[in-house]
Amino acid sequence: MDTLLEVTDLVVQAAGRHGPVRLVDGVSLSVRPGEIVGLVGESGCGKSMTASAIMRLFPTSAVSIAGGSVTLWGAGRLDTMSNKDMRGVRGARIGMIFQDPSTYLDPLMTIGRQVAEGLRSHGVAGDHRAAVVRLLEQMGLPDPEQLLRRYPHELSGGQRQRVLIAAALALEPDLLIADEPTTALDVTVQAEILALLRDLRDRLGLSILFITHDFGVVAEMCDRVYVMYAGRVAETRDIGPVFADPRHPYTIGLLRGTLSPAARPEDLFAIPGAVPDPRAMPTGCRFNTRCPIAIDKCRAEQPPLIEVDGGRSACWRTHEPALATAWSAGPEPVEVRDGA
Amino acid sequence: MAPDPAAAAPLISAVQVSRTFTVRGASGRRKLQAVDGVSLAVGRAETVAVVGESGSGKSTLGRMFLDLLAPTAGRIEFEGVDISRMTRAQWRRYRREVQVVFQDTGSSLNPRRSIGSSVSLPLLHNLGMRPAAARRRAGELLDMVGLRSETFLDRSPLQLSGGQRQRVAIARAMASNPSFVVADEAVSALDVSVRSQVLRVMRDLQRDQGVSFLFITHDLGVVRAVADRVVVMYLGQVVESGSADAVLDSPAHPYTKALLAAAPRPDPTVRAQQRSRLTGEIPSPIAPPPGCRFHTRCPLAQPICREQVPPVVRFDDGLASACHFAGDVRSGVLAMPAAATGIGTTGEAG
Amino acid sequence: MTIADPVAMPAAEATGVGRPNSFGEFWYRFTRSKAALVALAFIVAMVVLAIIAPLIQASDPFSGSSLALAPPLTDGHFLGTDNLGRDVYSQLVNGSRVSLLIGFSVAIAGTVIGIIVGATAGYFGGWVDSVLMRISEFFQTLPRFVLALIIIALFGSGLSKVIFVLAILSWPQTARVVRTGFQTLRSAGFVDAARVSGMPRRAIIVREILPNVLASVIVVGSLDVAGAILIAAALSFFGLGDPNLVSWGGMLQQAQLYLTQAWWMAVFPGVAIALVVLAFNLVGDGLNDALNPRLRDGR
Repeated sequence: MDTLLEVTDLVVQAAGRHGPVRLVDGVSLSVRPGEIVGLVGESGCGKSMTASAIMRLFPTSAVSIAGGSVTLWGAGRLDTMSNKDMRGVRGARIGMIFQDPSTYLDPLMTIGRQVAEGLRSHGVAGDHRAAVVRLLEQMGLPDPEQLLRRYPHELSGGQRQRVLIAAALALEPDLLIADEPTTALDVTVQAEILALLRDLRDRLGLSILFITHDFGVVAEMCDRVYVMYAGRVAETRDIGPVFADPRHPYTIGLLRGTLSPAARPEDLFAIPGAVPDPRAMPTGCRFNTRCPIAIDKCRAEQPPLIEVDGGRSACWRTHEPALATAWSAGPEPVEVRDGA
Repeated sequence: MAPDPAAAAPLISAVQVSRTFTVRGASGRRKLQAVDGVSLAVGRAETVAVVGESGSGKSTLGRMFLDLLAPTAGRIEFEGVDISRMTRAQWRRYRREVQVVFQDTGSSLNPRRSIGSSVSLPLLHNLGMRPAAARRRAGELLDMVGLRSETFLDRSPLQLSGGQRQRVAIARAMASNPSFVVADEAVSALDVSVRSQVLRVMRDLQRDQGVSFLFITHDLGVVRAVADRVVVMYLGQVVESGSADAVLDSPAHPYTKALLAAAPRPDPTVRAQQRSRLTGEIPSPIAPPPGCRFHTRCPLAQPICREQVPPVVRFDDGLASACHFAGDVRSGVLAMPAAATGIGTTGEAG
Repeated sequence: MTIADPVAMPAAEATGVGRPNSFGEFWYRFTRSKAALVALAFIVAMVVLAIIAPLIQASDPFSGSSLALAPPLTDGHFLGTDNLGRDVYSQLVNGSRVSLLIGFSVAIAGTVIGIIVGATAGYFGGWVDSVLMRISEFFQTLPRFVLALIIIALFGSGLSKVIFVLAILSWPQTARVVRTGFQTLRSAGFVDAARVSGMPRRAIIVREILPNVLASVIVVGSLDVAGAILIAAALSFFGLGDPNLVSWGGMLQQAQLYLTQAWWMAVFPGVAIALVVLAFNLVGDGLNDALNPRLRDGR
């Protein structure tokens, strides 16, 4: 197979008081076997909604897929299949892990039972206990036999996340969707979990769709990345090029604003303004209201994804030299004045 | 650790403070020592970052600076006076001068109060202003942090984004013109670019109004951009302290090195496979390991580390480290090993 | 980062520059439940009826007539008459006053006591909490009806006594809810911020925490009204109500002997009680959904 997961022009909308609101507006992405693909963006960009759409696990019935398609190799169209079939896909073909491990584990059920739940509900025959022990061991948890009888509150955050990963992979899915899985963990524990996920990809050929807002984690984990802004993909590149030579003003701005231990007070950079309200999106390129190099064309017409070296970028000026100095022109950006 | 001798007449200081909690567990009542014998001084117009992970005690320490919690041992001194022994007038002054910005958890602003009302609270209570004057001043404060007062005074916190709420929290903290502000994970819950926005507001306040900050965080990436000095905590104790440059560029403690190594860099050419990683989980503060508390996870641990509490080793540039091998760790003679292959096993459960 | 409720977000913005806790926002959410809306309309109608009862009654509910046991739709007696010839419709309309009065009084009294106890227990914790909770549990375990029986048997019947007894028994539920609210909120960021702002403790309890707890209290309160009406009717049924007042329970008591002969004597007050209790329950649900918006399950 060439592509494991193919999302094409996905539209997710929510019923609002004054009409439907598009939270994801024409997003396309793909994941190949054995790839770790990053989906990166800030709050409200739609990255979590995209994942929810793939799994058809929306938080309320007010949110639904309103366009586009989601295709999983060997299963067909996920967005149009019956609920019954979709239940067969979840867990068995696609696994998912989330941000806060404590809220996704039932405090009243033992670890052993929770990890085995997927096996049970999908009617897998054989000795579940042995399978669970093997899984917990694979995840680097010590003393897995003993762990079966323990309860979530007896485990640390990192251990809980490992348990959740074990549960997500119990039925050996080909794809794992990880939605900010390490954001709530301590940094030393995060390093371990990220290493575990990379190891699982190396050993099992697991594909991962990794959702995060942290470019450091993206650099750590991903082979390719999709940068989302206001419900659309702004840039999609291979990992090397996106850091070495970003081709969208938003990506450039985000990278410049990412802090690391080397950053000094003078280096504090912030993209002025704020993400637009989905009910009042700017015309043309959605980033134009905050873009330092926006021209009239940007305000008039939404740019398509344009081919660049190592990927594509949705910017009319993506091939222009002006892009490279987008944020360095002129004096330090004016202080953010909200509410104007 | 004793306070930095270079800080003459500090503005506020913790002197050998400890804080113990009683925890009711399945096996009866246990004592949890969240903070153990910490001394830390902050001078005027200085920002000190306190860095640590879960269980380090950094938030508890912050709350003691704010008199939201009383130390079970030791004392907090403001302008040289023990806050638990202040006269009424002295304490009211302390209340004006020492303020806080909490993490944006959704409950740092009262959802039933308008923004203007929340920002006015310290004006009404700490400064005894009249409501009309307080409202005017609240408007000025909002303008100061980049939120147009006409728009935001009457808004509900629910209508604001995370970054805007944090700026409101800063406006509220600055209302009584404090000389010292505790920022407890003030930017941790914010998006990357919003983080910088908020940090710039704080940086400018530091510069323009000479406010001192105690910046509590788990994120080493933020530290150098805001802090003059850094204090690293582990399981209730200070393990290293010094200037930001010294601690971040040439640390003398294996835990600091591990923290620096674990932080993911936005550079795909330097991946963690090439950097060392800690194994095991952070031990529970209820039963901290003997000797050096870090020894259970330290890749450089020797028998002495388990047996003896490490001394504080001081370097010429003011860096201090609580490690038996601080000198060798700093110079690199004792190097952190490259990452073990495999997925790493987790140690004792919590 | 929690998934923002995409439906609530528009509602918040739609109230314009928006004062916090604005009524428009609350109303929008409340009216999403048709059942709650209908129930509220029903209650409002009942309250209006109760207030104007003397004006709309067909005849004096106390005075009998020679036309006993007349079926509904008899001339001049829309819902029939009882065994003493008293007009059922007039009794029904007048009886609503007693029911609603008891319901609201008990709910208000119970709520006030519950708030005071719950706030104290929840904010201070420790031994204060333990003592107050033991007391509250004591009252909760008392069998409501039996206690009411005993008190009225000992001290005589009368509206005020009925209200007193029921209020005593209904406050623990509110106290529990308030206590939980206080326990959760006392460590909230804005409460600590209020302390650091110099707000005195009493002000924090009343002006910071309590308004945030009131939402749940209102919900419990509406259910209290329903519960009180039901028990009051039961008490009247057993003859422990105030004999000088017309009440639905009293009507039921009278109706016992005539069930086969005059079904209308029992059915109308019975249905009235059932509908009012149902209405308050639905309103309570609606209030809960409106004041504590939750993400609902979806596919």
